[in-house]
Amino acid sequence: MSAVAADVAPVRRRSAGLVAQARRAWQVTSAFTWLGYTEELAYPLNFALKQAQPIFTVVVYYYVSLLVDSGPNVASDYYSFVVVGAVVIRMLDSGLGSFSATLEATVNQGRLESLLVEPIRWKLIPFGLASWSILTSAITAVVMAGLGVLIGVDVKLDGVLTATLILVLGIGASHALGIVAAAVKLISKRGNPFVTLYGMAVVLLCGLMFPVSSLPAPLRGASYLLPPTYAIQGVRRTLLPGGEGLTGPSTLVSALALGGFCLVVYPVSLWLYGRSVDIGRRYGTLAGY
Amino acid sequence: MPDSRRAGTPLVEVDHLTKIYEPSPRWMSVMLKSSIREPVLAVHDLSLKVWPGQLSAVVGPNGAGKSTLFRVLTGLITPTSGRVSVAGIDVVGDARAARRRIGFMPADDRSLNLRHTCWQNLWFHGRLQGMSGPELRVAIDEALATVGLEHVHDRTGHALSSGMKARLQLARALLHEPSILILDEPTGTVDPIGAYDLLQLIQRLAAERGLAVLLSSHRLEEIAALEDNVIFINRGEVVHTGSMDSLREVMEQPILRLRFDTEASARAARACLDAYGDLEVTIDDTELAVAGNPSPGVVLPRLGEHLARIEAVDRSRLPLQELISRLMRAEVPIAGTRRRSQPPVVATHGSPS
Repeated sequence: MSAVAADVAPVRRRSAGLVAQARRAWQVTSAFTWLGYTEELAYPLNFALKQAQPIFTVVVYYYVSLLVDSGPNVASDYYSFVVVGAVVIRMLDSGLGSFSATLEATVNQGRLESLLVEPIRWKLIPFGLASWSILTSAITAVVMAGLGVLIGVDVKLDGVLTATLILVLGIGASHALGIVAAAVKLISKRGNPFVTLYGMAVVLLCGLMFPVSSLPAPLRGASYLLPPTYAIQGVRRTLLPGGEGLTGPSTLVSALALGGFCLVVYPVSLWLYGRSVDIGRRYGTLAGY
Repeated sequence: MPDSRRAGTPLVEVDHLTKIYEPSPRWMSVMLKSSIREPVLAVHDLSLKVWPGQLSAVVGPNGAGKSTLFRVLTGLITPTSGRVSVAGIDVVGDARAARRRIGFMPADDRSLNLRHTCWQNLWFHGRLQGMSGPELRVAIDEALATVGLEHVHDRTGHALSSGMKARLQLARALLHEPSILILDEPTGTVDPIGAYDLLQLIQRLAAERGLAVLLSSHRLEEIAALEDNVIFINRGEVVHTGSMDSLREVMEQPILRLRFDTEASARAARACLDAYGDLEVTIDDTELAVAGNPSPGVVLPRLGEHLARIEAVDRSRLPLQELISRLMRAEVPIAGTRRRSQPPVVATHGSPS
């Protein structure tokens, strides 16, 4: 074997290993997505109402926007401002809440133990369990955006690509926090103080219904610790006409903040999840409730 | 089982396993109250081996440590000390590889998705096992046929009887062709006839496929049926391993009782037996008690002319329930069974979860 071939061989092996891992991850995730799909469709009315509710809010926001004066801090108009915020939150929220909610449901149904004895990476289980929920949330968010545009949301089409990138980074950051939530859930079993507190903070601080600049300085500072603030700000700046004039971080800063958040929090969250699993195995509480 | 079948390597090896459940630390109790306040010894210095083709039943009262043993084997909990391996793979070091070799059937039929059909339940499990396409479809059909559920493949879990659910769980455990089956009370919710059939099936599969099967059971008829391979555990320790006959030899120690027509006849017969010097004989009124599990065929001919004075001979065996109860109640080491060493902490019950 030549020296070049010898150098290339380990790289090929690594690539083949990565491909096999990706294939396995896809196989597991798609199986879980199918599971979520079939379970969801077993209760069709519940499914329909769950999807209709956020879409309904797009209409509600329209009538609320008629009462609110648009100003420089909401770019073109308040309706576009709030619907874009709601769509972003819908996308991001699915990752955070679904991980722990689906894990809790599985524990309560008594099915976690049988999943844990499958030869899959335990880190894939929260991703798998949440996959259907994430997918439906994404579809609902797209429908919300479409309906919003039909009703009167004004967007710049040339900003869609950048907004998508920001959104992907935001979802990544949200998933990282979702894994932290799942790690807490493995120990706490019921409820999730982390998700509850985070959810409240997002509604108050991240600029969903009003600009972050309206908040008093200490709360404004806190809002910049939360990834949704950057995701909402970044998407609004790129999608809304006049969005570049919004006060707060620029699109580049938002993208960098979200990217940095992913880079730091993802490994930490996976480590935390692993620790929770180890604790559960040690104290014998892994599959309990 | 015959020694020849033990020529290979055992598929399940538990070596001096100890598991102590500790109360969770204070920071954890803020989120979830610990169900224990002091360390609980669930399994203490337990060792066992299961060979290819061998079916072993783990028997013991609630809290004996059966579930803890099974959870350690499937990697759900980590041992405090000791080594556990399946198919030569350390379950702590490489739990995922070990789980690939195991087919697990939990005691709870809620582990099935009851809204899914039999076929769908197996499909989902097969995908998680890394199977797909025609390979998976063929494996599902074969697994359903093996357990006799091929005719209800499209029936949902809710529409299955308890026996069918148990069979579906067995099919799921068999789907990926594991070399080891761990069955936690497989017949727990099944009627006696169905349980018997299921056990027969499991025994046949173990023999035909060379599977190492470890199952837990509370059913006395099953324990009786599994004569040769019963592992009795109590308070986390193996108290007896082997055949029911060997357990009877150790625990039962039957006494041969001979009732004579008169006390004088009994005394004369005793003198006759004492002359041999190898039997422990006591007398109570007209009854002689010969200890040490003697065979009537050995004792009676020794009585000679006194044989005609016997009115009754009694050498009844203990019912299985009483035999096991005696074993579990035994406070002192029993000859031939494992000596119970002093546990480091008080064992009160099994897994805290």
